[in-house]
Parts: sequence; C-alpha cells; structure tokens
Amino acid sequence: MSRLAALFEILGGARPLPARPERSSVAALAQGVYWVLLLLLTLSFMGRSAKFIYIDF
Amino acid sequence: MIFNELTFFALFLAPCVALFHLARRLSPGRGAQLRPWLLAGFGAAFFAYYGYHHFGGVVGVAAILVFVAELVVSRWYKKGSRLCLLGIIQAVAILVVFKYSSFFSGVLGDVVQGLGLERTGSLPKLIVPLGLSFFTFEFIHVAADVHSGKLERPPLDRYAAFVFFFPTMVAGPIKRYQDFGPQLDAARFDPGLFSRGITRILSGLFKKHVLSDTFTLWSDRLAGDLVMTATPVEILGWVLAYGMKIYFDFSGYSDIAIGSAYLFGIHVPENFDWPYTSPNIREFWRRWHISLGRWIFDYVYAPLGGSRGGEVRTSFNLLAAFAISGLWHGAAYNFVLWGLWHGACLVVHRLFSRWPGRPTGRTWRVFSIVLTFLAVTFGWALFCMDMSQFSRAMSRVIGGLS
Repeated sequence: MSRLAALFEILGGARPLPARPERSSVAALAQGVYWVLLLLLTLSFMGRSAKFIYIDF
Repeated sequence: MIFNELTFFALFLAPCVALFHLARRLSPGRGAQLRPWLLAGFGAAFFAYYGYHHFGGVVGVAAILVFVAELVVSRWYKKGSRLCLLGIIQAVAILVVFKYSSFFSGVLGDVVQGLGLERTGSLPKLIVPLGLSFFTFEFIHVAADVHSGKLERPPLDRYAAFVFFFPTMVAGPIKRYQDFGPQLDAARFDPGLFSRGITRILSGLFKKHVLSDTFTLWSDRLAGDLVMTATPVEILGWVLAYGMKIYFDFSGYSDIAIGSAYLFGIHVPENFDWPYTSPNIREFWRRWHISLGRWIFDYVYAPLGGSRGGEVRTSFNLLAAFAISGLWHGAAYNFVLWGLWHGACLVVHRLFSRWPGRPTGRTWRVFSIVLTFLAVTFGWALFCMDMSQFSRAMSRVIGGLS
C-alpha cells in the first residue's frame, strides 16, 4: 500500500522522483507527455463547475 | 474560480514567478530586496482584480484596506504588547462583522423567539472579502506569536509579502511566518522543484475537474427534493460521493496553491496526507486540512487549556475548539453541529484510547479505518445539507431502515 501511495504522490508532484545521477532525455519527454495528458484530460472535463468549495461563500 | 481561470496564470503567476527569479539574477543585492515588494505588489493586484470580479466589485477592492490596517498596526507589535492583542481583536472583529453578523443576529432572533418574545430581525448578509477566513488566521498567528515571544516582529516588506502571497491568499494552506520568512531570501530557481510545481498544479486541476466534478453529479442530488423519494442506500451513496468530492476539490485546490509556491522555490504547508486511511478521528485531523488543524490546536485549543485540565475540562476544550472550527467553515447551524460531531468523536476516541482492554492487531486496524471513514462520512452529511434537508434525509434513512 505504501508503494502505491508513493507512486500516486510522485504522479501528483507531492513527492520528488527518486534521485538519479543524470536525467535522461527520455525521462524529460515522458514528463512532458504526462503533463500534456493531464492537461488534455482536464480540459476535456472542464465546464461542469468552476467553484472551489473552500473559497469563502 | 480563480485557480482555474487563465487570468490567474497569465496575469499573475507566470509574470510574478519570472520577475521574482529575474530580480535576483539581474541584481543579486537589490534584487533580493525587491522580491518581497514584488510579491506584495502582485498580491495586492491579485486581491483587487479578483475582489472586483468575484467578491463585490468596488467594495471587494476596498477590502484591501484590511491588509493596510494590519500592516500599519503590526509595526507596533512586540513581545507582551497590548497592541498585539489589539491586532488579534481587529482580525476577529473583521471576521465576525463580515462573515457572521447576519448569522449571529439570526441566532439572537431565534433565542428571543424561543423565550416567547417577538422575533428580532436579522442583519443583511455582507459581501465577504476574498480569502477573509484565511488571511485573518494568518494575522492572528503573527500577532499571537509576537505577543508570546515565539516570533520577532517581521520587517514590513517581508510581512507584506507574507500576507499578500497570492498562491495561498484565497484559501490557504494557512502559513506560518517562521517557515515563510526565511524562504524569501533562500528561494532560488530549482528546476526539480519547478517541474514538481507544474506537475502539482496540473494534478490539482485534474482532481478538481475530472474527479471532484464527477462525484458532484451524485452528491448534488442531496440538495434537491430527490432526498424525499430516495432509498437509504441512495442517500448513503450520495453522501459518500460528497466526501470524495470535497476531498478532491480541496486537495486539488491545495495542490495548485502548493505547486504555485514551488514555482517561486517556496514551500508552504501541506494540507492533506491520505486522510481517508486514518485509523482514528485524531489521526484524521492530523491528515485533513492539516494547516487549519494545527492553527486550531495552537490558537484555540491550547489557549483554552488543551489537555492540561482534567478529563471534563479537556473534553469541553475539544468540543469548543471544534465548534469554532465548524463555525469557521460556514455561518450556519449545520456547520456548528458538524464541528461538535467531530469534537464528540475526538472525546470518545480519547476515552477509548485509554481503555487497557482495547483491541489491537491488523483486523482491528482495518475495522477502525472503516469506522473512522463512516464517522467522517456522517459528518459530511451535516456539512453539506442545511438542517431541514439533513432532517429530511435522516428521516428517510431511519424510515427506510426500520
């Protein structure tokens, strides 16, 4: 369970990637693809609600 | 709203981050001095822009005077000074007037009516300035900590940067100056942290728009007349959906705030740590809205006496602290009851954890996680419905089960 939690935290940016001596261009490309995927998914679901609950109401 | 608007990124976040890092590169000495004013300037513009567009037009912009008053009064803060207490009173008064005057006048009316007298009228609801519930808590933290000697009075430029730091201005995480102040000098462009910041912002938007808004499709049914014809299982499902919606909504919001701060090279407090896997309600409050829980502990529960008195006094302090926490979430009876429910759960947990014969082991742990989740879920039913809707839902559930 803790490994799964750690994976989600890395995917969410809450936890840094495990230290590597050198970041490869493949890793950078994968990161870019991941960002685009997140953005596209978000954009495709946007428009149902704009309000965040905890902003004073 | 705000964090999912293009203007937030284009007008405020991107230019401010670029100038924040450029200032130091172009002129290491003067740039470092400029940085706090840069953050304060962008924060003030952010408050004015969104205050005007979403929080009452010109009145929303004029609320910036609250910050000016705080920055002026804070110049006289020192250890043991009564002006610190004045600063606390000022912050509480602003919060009460803007957020609670209508509610409290309604409560007074209810009490008068309950005594058999003619009901008094309620005050009209005022426009609540942007981020009021959060920035007043930061004002109180600084005044209280300077008063107790835990903190030296912050210099004006740094304090202005602290209160106007726009990534956390709207809805936290509630910062502490002791953590934030030193970072203003130390913050530098860190590609790893910058990259995590972008990931965090994007995952926050994903949580809000893909996950939270999907759960809203079910949880919204609690608001209408469908409750009157729903089965107990349906109502339970909608409340569970609300629990997921609020988690993904607020943790998504917090991700965007924390990720935005990462872009500056600044760490702000975390707000969530897998709260729904907590094995008890005490642990839940260490993992849910962490920055608020710590604030309530330090500035409400501890000053009331914390756990230093006997069991009765400690229980009272817990109930009082969580009633205030509930009221902070919203000016309505259901929020107070929500707070009292959590306070009562904490009292029960406190008594139970002292019982020598309490069960232990893996099975018990799983059971206690489920039990905690159900207790929290029942709390969400109080949180998301007003009292009349909650009564209708409960009568359906009890009627359906009997």
